[in-house]
Amino acid sequence: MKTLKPITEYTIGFTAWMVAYVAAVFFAGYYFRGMTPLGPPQAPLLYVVALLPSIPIGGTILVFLRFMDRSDEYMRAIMTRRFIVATGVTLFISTAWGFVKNYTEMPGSGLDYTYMIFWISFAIISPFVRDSKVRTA
Amino acid sequence: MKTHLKALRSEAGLTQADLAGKLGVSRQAVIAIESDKHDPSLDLAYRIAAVFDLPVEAIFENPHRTG
Repeated sequence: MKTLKPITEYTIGFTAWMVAYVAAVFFAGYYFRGMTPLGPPQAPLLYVVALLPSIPIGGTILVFLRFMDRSDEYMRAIMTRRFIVATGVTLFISTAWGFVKNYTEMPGSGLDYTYMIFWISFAIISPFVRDSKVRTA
Repeated sequence: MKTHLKALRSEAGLTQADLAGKLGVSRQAVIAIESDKHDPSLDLAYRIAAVFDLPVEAIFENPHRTG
C-alpha cells in the first residue's frame, strides 16, 4: 500500500476532523433546541451531546502530532514554533476576552471559541514563522 | 550559519528537489538551509556532507573556529 506524503495525510486528516467538528456543532445546536429525532434534551444524553464537538479537537491534535512525527526536522521545528506562538496568542486573546466579558456587557461564553481562536491564530502567524532559528538581537 | 550549499548544489547540477530526495527531507528544508533559515542537525549535516563527499566544515562554516 502506498504511503501518503505527510502533508497530504495531514490535509486529509485535518479536513475530515474539521468536517466532523462542524457537523457535531450543528448537531448539538439542533439537539439542544429539541429539533432532532432524539427529542428534547435530557440527561445523561445531553452531556454526551454537549461533549460531542470537543472530540474532533482531540482528533486534529493527533493528526497534527502525527504530521510532526512524520515530517523532517525543519518542518517539525517550524510547526512547533507556530504551535507555541499560536498557543500564546490564544491564551492572550482568551484571557483578555474573559476580563472584558467580566467587566463589561460583552456577550458570548468565550471558552467554546478557544479552539477556533487557536487555529485562526495559527493560520495568521504561519506566514511569519518560517525560520527555525531563534535569533537574538 | 554560513553555508556553501547552494553553490555546491548548483555545481553538482542538482535541483533543490533532487537534493531533498537524496537527503530524505522536504524541498522546504533545503530552501531553509540554503537561505540560513534553518541550521541542520548534526545528522542532516553529515548526510549533506556524504552527498557531496566533503567534510561538514567545507559546506557549513564553523562560526566558533578562529583563524
